Parts: sequence; C-alpha cells; structure tokens
Amino acid sequence: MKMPRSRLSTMGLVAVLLMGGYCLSSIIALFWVTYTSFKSNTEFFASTWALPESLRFENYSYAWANAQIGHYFFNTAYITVLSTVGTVTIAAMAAYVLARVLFPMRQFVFYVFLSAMMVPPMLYLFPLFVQMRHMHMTNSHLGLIILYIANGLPFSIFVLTGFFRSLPTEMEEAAFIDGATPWQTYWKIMLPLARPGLITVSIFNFIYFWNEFFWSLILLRTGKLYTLARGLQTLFWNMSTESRWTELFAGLVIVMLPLIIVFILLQDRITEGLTVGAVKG
Amino acid sequence: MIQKQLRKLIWPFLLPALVLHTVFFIVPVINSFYYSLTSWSGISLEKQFVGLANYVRAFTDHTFIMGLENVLLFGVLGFVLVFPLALLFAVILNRKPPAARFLKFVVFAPTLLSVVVTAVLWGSIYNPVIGLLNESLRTLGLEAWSRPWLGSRHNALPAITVAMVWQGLGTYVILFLAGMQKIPVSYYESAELDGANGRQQFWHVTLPLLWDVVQILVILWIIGAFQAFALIFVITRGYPNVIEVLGTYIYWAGFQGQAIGYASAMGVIMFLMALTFSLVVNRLMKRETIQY
Repeated sequence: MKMPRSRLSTMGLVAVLLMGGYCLSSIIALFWVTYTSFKSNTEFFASTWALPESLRFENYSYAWANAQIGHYFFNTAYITVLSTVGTVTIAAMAAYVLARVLFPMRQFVFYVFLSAMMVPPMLYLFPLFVQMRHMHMTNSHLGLIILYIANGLPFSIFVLTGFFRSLPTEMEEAAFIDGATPWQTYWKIMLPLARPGLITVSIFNFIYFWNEFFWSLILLRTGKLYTLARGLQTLFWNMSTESRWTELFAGLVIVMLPLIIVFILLQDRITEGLTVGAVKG
Repeated sequence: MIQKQLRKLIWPFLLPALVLHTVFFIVPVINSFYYSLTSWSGISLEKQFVGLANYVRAFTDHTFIMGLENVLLFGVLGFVLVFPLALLFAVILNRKPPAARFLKFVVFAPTLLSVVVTAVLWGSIYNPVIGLLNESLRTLGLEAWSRPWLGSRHNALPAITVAMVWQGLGTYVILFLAGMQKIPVSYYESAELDGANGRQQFWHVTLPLLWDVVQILVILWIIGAFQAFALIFVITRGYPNVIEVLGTYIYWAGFQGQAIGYASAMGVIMFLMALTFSLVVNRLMKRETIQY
C-alpha cells in the first residue's frame, strides 16, 4: 500500500528551510575558516569574505612550527593514547567485577563511581589542585594523564558494566570447568567477547582526552607542556596583540581535521555509542 | 562454585579504579566542603575556620548574583533554542530525507570538536573588525545591525548562546532520533487511519513516547548550564567583566583573587543548586511511563 505521504505543509516547509539554513551556515562557517587559512593577513584585513589569491601553505608551516602547534600535537597525541589505554584497562577490570561477581556493597560501589558524572568539576577543583601540588603532579604530563584516567573511569565503568552484564555466562562456566583460573577466563574469554564495548569506550575516551581543555588549563603552566586545546586558546588570546589571524585559522584547521576524519570513518559507531552511553542511565 | 573462583578477582580488579577514584574525586569533594568553611587564601599554612560566613558572603556578592543570573539566562535561552530545534531536526531525520547521513554529519560534527575550537571559531565570527557576521551584515546593507558582539553583556548573551547551541545540538538530535526510531511504525499507521495529521502525530504519539528521553536530556541540560565555563572563558579572552557566569567567577576568585575558601563555598553552592534544580525538574516532569 502506498503510504499517504502528506504533501509538504507550510509547517513542513518551514522546518526543512530551518534545517537547511542551519546546516548551510555551519558549512559556510567551516569553509570560511578553511579558505581563510590560506590567505595572507593583508588580504584578510582587506576583505573578510574574499577567496585567497593563492594558497599560502606557509600559514600551515608557521602554525605548525613557529606557533608550536606541531609540538602541542605530539603532546596531545601521546597523552591521549596513554590516558585512553589506562582508562579502558582499569575500567574494564572494575566493570567485570561489578558486573559478574556478587558481593555485598556491589551496587553501592557502582553508584560511588557513577556519582562523579553528576558533580561539576568546579566543586572539587581547588582541593584537587592543592593536593596535586603537594604530590608534585601539577605542571606535569604524568599528573595530567593520571588525572585523565581517574576522570574517564566513571563513564567507562558505567558503559562496560552494562556491556559485561549483557554477555552470556556459558562460556565463562565452560572455562572454569576446564580448569581455567579467573584471570585466564577474564583475559582469554571475557575481554575478547567485550571487544565491541571496549572499542566504543575507547573511541569516546579518545575524543574526550583529545579535546580536553579544563584540566590542562588548571594543571599546565609551561608553554612546552601544552596540549592542543590549551595551545590554541593561548594563540587565540594573543591575537589582540599579534593579529596573525590566518595563521590562527591554519592552526584551527590542524586541530579540527583529525576529529573530522575520525568522525567520517566512524560515524555510525560514534552515534550508536552515544545512545548506549546516555540513554541507559 | 564459579562465584567462589570469581571472588578472588574482587580486590585486584577493583583496587586500581577505587584508589584513583578516591584520591582524585572523593577526597577532594570532601575537602571542598571543609575548605568552604574556612577563609583560606591558598598560601598561608593555617586554615581559619569561619563557619558559614563564605556562604553568607556569596549571597550578598553582587558579582556572584550576576553570575547566577547569567547562568539562568544562558540556561533558559539555550533550552528554548536547543529543545525545539533538536526535536524538529530529529523528526526530519526520522523521515529519512535525502542525504540524511550527510545532514546528521553536519549537525553532529560540532559536538566532537574541542570547546576551544568552538570558542575560537565563533570568537572570530563575532570579531568586530574581521568577523564574518558584521562583514555579512554590511554586505547585506544591514550595517545598523552590526556591533561588537562580545563587547557587552547585552550582546554577548545571545551571541554566546548561539555558539553553545551550535556545539551542543548534535547530541540532543542524535538522542531524540534514537528514541524516535524505537517507536513502532504501527502507531503512526493507526494514528494516520484515525486521520491524525503530522502535527497531531507529533504531539500525541511521538512526544509522549519520547518523554523518558526528554526527561534525561533536560537534566543533562541543567547540569551542563550550571557548569558553563570553558566556552565563555575562552571566547571572552579572559575579560570576565563582559559576561561572568558562576564557573568563570569561581575560577578567577580562586586562582587570581586567592580566595580558595570562598571559591570552594561558591563551588558547593553551584553543585547544590544544580542538584536541587535537577531533582525538582525531574519531579515536575514525572509521568507514568508508557509501555509499548
């Protein structure tokens, strides 16, 4: 039967125009940043809208080398990778126990982790900063990584506990009957089974750490330790005295590009993961 | 039998997470309540106990009240934009329009960008000299509308709200869409047979069945609104007097004003307010869950 698809009503038309307009302005804004990043500053100040006369790749080498974006890129990359691996490893172990082992206080421990998702960082910022200064963990990448791991745990434990609970118990039982130790069962049977969940959680942590700004603002003082978010912010704030806008835009593109590529490659996985993470709560 | 085996894992597997969570979350949270009762500057060795003085001070502090006011304004203004837009876009995407994947991509991509990227992008768009917005208004002959968008509270409020909406909208669209896709098609078919038009179907089928999702997202929005910090902090380039929210005021009070005790008290107030708001709204929105 043919669906009696309603002809486009006035409301429908307005809706479609609204969404089209929204998407179009979004694309124009990003397009503007991208082509401006190839202009010279003289051209840019002469006309905001005009397309570049020639593609100045120098802006990119300036942003990468002189403005230190390249340096921040490597800082961010290794901090993000180590934090993601650390978070997922520790969260998976905790989640496995919380999902599969019956012990008193199990629910309580689970909620103690979850509570962090409701608490604004402004609540515990100062005590945490003072404490980390005592521990010599401020202005250090190691300190930042450890804090990131602690920060990534609640969300990761939440999602992975749900995931482990959804797995069948038969294979675990069979492994134990065959005489496997709990550690072997976890490592050889359960972790491989949990792979889709682990990948989703890794992607989310990776994006979160890659973009993270707040804690790197609080903890990092020395320029050479900066991450991309922190470095870009400093560059932007310096614009009032420096006015190297097109180089700033080149930096902006360098920061945006990896995430846009990741999203193009993993669009479905990311949008699905988001649904699992948010709605189950 | 299996449980006996598994129990051996409890401590070794739970300990690393528990230690990190305790040291970097629970202890500072508890300390924060303690700090908030002192007049500690952050430097002196002694923390002088002042009782609830910091809390009293906050509610007589003009800037704090202003910050709270701005949080509420941003929260309400953003809500009024985000929820209708997100629902509308989700409805459109749910009807599988041409290029749905691409549209989803465009709406959702900003969510994945760092808040600093959003701030720099919109900060440049709003720049009075080279900004895209003023320049476009001039081109369109609407020069009278151009202004220093981030120069005063009056203009910054809507301008920054738009940037917030741009960054946040994607999550809401995706989650509404996921909720809509769970509603059985047969409901719409019978509504259609009963002669319900698109708008009636939205109000009487989609929205009631989506209520759980709406509830969760409203709470998410409230918590996010109270926490607002990074976007405003970066986009105003450290000139907090243009527009101050609770987050930026607490940050400056603690790190520049060296009033750690006072800043902690304001942090506690922020947390308690966000919590109360969420609980009240959750209560108000409670309805019987519809099973389907």
